[in-house]
Amino acid sequence: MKLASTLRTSMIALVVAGCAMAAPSASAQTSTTTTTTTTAAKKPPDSGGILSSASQKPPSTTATRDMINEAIQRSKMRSDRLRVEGKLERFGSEDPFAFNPAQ
Amino acid sequence: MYISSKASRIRQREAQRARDNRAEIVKARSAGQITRRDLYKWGIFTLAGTLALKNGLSPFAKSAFAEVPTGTPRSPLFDAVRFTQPMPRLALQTPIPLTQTGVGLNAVANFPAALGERAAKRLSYHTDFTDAGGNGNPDNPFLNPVTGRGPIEGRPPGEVFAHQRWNEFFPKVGYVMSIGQIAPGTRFDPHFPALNANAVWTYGKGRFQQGQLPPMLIKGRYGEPILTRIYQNLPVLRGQNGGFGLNETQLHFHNAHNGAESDGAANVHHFPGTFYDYRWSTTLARRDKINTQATDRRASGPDGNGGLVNVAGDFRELQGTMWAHDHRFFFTAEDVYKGNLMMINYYSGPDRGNEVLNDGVNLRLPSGRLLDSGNTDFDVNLIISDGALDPAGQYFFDIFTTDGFLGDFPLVNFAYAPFMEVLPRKYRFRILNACMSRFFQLGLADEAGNTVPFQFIANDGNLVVNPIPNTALDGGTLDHQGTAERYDIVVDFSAFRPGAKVRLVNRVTMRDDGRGPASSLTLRQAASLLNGLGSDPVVGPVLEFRVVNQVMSNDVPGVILRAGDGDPSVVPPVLTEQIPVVAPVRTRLVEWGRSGNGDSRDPKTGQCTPDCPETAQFPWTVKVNGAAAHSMNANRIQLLVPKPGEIEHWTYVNGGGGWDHPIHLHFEEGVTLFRGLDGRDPIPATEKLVRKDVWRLRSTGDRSVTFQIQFGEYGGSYVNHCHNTVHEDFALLMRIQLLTGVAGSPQAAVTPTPNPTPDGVVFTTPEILPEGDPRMPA
Repeated sequence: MKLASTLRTSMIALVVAGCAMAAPSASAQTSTTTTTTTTAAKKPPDSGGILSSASQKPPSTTATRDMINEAIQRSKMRSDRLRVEGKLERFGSEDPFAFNPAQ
Repeated sequence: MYISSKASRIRQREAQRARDNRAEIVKARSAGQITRRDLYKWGIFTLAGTLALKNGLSPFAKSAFAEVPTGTPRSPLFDAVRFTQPMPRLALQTPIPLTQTGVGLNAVANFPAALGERAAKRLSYHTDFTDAGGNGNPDNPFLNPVTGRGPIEGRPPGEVFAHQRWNEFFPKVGYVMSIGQIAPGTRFDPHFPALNANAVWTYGKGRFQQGQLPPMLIKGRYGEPILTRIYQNLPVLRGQNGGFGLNETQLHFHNAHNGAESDGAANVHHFPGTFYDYRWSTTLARRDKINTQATDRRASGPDGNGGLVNVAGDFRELQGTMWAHDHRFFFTAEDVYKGNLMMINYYSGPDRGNEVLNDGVNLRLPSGRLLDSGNTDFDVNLIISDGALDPAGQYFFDIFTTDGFLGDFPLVNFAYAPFMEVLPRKYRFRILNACMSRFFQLGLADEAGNTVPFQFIANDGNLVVNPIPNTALDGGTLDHQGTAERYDIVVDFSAFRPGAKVRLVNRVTMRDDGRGPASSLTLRQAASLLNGLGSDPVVGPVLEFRVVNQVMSNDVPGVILRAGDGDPSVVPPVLTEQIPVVAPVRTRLVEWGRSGNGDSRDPKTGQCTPDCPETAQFPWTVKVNGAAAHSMNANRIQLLVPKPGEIEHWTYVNGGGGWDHPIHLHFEEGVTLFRGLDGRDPIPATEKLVRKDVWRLRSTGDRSVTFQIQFGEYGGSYVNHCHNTVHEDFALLMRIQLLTGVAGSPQAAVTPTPNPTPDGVVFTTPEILPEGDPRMPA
């Protein structure tokens, strides 16, 4: 679990670093300096491989890569359920769901 | 959404009976003969808020005659034949020069005295109405002259809805228009019956003229702020609407860089008898951060004499092809479909609308040369939409659908499948998808079905860095174009001889359940369907270009333009520069989905903010940063931007369930970064690193898109929503609050919610959801 979290944090840092390297700094786009914060690195996610529900988490004012990944996996789950079981979507109702951060 | 023309007569009757019954319900509701409670009691509406799947009511009820859903009966076409009427050009409006009197915050903009118009002011006339005693003063000179109650202007009172940066962007030209019933004798095709007065509501020139089709076109110029006065001449009684549409309107200038008071989506609809002054500032984004001294000639607008007026701001954010439409929350689909829309082209130094001026700034894109700027002889706006008719040939809309509305015949500039004569040279086409729910995938084909080349030059009004040839696109055609998306292309007809025909062809089919695009025919297949696909007549050719030797000028009527005149226009290999992608200050996640249990209604009163149809339920909801899902409430802020200039990365995720959503962000355009987690989904060339204000959320792959965004110059209350306007109305829309106004202005803080009533606007304090407010401690 700890290893997975470390790996994930490293991946996020790499993605952010890659983005920063591939692109000029914020000041290249604007005439003022923009402070860069990477909240993903500051606050590692903790949801690896467990049942999770967004509604159980405290509100976050920034999104992490894991949050986005979880939302994508939930979206696919809802679509698959509709296709296979013919059930209506449950967006917002947060059915139990196994998030796989490695996926 | 509608049944096949080959369906049995019994089946056709069944579908028509269902439509009649739904119309009866609407009529009875309008007359107060039945209540929403009655509808639930009778089982006509389900607890989920959808129309019960009953034969005789729902278009989706299983038919006794077939296994597929019953749809709306096919529109009668009265023997109209495609490509037999000429395509009308949009109705160009002439700007009215304004003069300034007074100074500072009290400066006013005067219309010519002959028009008898009140001067335009920073503060609304609602402020005067309130100061003069409101309804309590029977002699109040600022009373609504039609109803005798409430203010004469719909713009809310006080500083919060005063025009921001009034003196910096003081209006130089004005327009006076009125939204009203369609003029007698108007029809979509010469074979169709004339439209009833309340079948279409659209704009007329001046204060009193009835609505006219085709819709209007306004030509704006950077450096020349506009004051647009909209009179509301719709019927006072809500029920006098021809079956759909609401007589309360707010005109949203789709993604112009304007203050919230002029964005037309701050919950500021107004009522019959009133007017609303929108100040369309022509502000170039980033004017407070980049090129603040206006020294960059590329950041400029035409001066009317072949020269330029420099403006502050970032030339990479110049806008071109835009439009405006109604945005009355909960009724937008009905109102826009009904005709409440127009187009606006912004002209700039680089995108001048003149193909011969060679000053090192002008790109000389196809347009014309008779005017110094804004030529339209070879620069053509195309509003493409789908319509439906009832058996009497009147415009039809199904107000009960919450999923989407598809018409079954194509309209171009509100004419049924017309033709347009073109010279053998280059043309620019500004294509707007103005459907309520339909996606297009457009391409060009010759009479043999061969692909005709084009170059893609702008997306949602933003020039791409390098023109993109159609050969770089899937199937040699444009990518899917959702509602409100604008694609600009250049087509060179010089390879064709007079007499040749080229057709604009839609090759994507929509799913029967309205969830989104189904599959794409090849361009050749679609081009061969001269009367449209049997199951969906809007698939196939929608517009025919006829190559001719001469045409009449659109810019200077009476002047003949000839094939031998030559073509001095160019499509340069570089149109603008790329805005860099940078590490963001913060990232946001916004999910758009169908939960079936929106919370637009107050749990105690059952009322929406603003008021919504009594029968409406809200299956669509929005989540921010993984928190709880909510549906539209104008008094609830779901996402807040704390200060100007901060660069953010936003990811939109489709909630799933097989739906496609075209998601629109007001006020600012984002640089599209990638699709899918870390960019693992393919992204069309027309989107990659391209600025946009509408992004299609697909129902395949990772169903997500990420873009870079920053806000500045103005602030206040804006919205972010699905532009499938049916989804938007039920209520896939959230309020965003931008604290990005000038420091010290009301728009640097959270602004109160205006609640319009016929007696005037009252303000309430909005709820702010913590997940969208970065000012909250982590």
